[in-house]
Amino acid sequence: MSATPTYNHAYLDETTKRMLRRTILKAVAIPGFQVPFAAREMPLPYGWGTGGIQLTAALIGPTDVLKVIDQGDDHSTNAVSIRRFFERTAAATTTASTTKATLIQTRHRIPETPLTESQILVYQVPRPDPLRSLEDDAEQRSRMHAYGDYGRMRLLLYEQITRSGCITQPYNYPAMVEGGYLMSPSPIPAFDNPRLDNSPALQVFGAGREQRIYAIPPYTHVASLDFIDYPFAPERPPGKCALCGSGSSWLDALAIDDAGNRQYVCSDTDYCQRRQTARAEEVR
Amino acid sequence: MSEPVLQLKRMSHAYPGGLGCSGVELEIHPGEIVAIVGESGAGKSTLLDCASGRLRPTGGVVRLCRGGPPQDLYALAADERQAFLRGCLARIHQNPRDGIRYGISASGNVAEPLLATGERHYGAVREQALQWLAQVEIDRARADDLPDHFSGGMQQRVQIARALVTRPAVLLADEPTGGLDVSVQATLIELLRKLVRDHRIAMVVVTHDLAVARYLASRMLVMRAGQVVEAGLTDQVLQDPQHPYSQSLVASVLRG
Repeated sequence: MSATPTYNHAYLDETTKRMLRRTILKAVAIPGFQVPFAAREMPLPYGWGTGGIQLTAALIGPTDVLKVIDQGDDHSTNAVSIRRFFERTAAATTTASTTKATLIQTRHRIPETPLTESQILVYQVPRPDPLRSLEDDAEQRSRMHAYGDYGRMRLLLYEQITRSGCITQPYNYPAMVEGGYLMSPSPIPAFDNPRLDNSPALQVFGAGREQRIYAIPPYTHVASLDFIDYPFAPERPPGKCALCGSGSSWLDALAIDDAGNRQYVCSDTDYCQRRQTARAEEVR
Repeated sequence: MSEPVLQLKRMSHAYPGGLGCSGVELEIHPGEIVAIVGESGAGKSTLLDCASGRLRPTGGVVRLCRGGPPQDLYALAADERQAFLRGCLARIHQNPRDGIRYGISASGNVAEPLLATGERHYGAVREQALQWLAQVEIDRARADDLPDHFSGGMQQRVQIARALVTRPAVLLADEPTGGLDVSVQATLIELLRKLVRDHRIAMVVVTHDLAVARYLASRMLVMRAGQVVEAGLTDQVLQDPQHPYSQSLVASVLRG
């Protein structure tokens, strides 16, 4: 599809894209630090990925291949509309394949397929500051970050263990970036947290409403908060994918009838599809 | 005698609108309790704020010892100061609402200062928290309840446990028994005295209650309008006050 001629490449004007790139560079230079930026109005509502879409607009070039996923799914409304947005405004080549993509915008998941050095992962982030729920005063929060004063976040985990006998944070599990800043991994399941660590791909996080960008450079150590005697141990839904039989991927529960029966399938549709194809070929 | 753990040298603080405190001299040694008395607005809380690293004095020096040589508190950068103060100085507020978190269990409240110092072993943190709650006589069965459901005296005891769990060298208490009924006051003061003596903590207690000062403190400062008008042994000051203000203060209590 060709670009709609009335828009500048990738919708945003060049000055805005330059501002975004400078912010990204700063974010990469200070891993995990939330860099403020002047988020623009985008033609989609806050909470639908305005932060991620601005990052993608600033990063996408003519040779890039774009993949957009929402909860691991390439075909949900949000993913389809963002993909079409860049097809129209940047004449972008799009794909559902994780391996073919050079730029992946995501919400709530990290792809099952390992990423490479030539890829960038863009996250849509609703609440960039992990301390937001603990401290109302923004000035105080930035002071806590500056002093590495993360006792209150550990206290949250302490309370969970005291109440439930284990850490019960299912998603948005806070992590330390290279021993420096505490970051919110966005609402990905805790199951995906280990993939943040030492990833060959650049990971950038954009929060449009909160006007913050942060990043994890390639091969950066990201450690999920835990205790020595209660180590980070994320849970995975039990069982195998009903479609591809994967026993190691993150699963979504699908309601299949009115009797409350459910089926568990991979949330990463590309991963699931490829496994199904490979299986079919084996059978043949 | 050992080195003083807290030293205020000609410490002053002037607020933009007027008086805070001026020219305060104070040295306090491990295991010692000093009371600061004076009317509202005399500069007592300003003094505590300056001594606890919350408010940079406009003049003079605050020095603290943490094992090593005395450290000028405000010569440190803000982050170093905070790290230095952790585990070396603690504060008890008059209102427990300022000193503890109500959305967090009592044991969590006591655990927090340990977690802030980077303790990473849940079991160790928990054990210390429970042990300190036992020291302030909070029933084990209530250790994981929210302090919201506690009586005022219990909340104050949780605050004391939270302050002492990091074994600070200096404890600053601002009216620790304010707003409590007389019998609870008495047990709380006895508890504070015991803990401070057992752990050789230097304590500065701000109070307007001369009975509290007499019972707890060996030395006493009388403040008025930002100045220390009289300083000395508690018994001496209370029995033979020299300054007219101290005299009226002592007289007012005797009459009452």
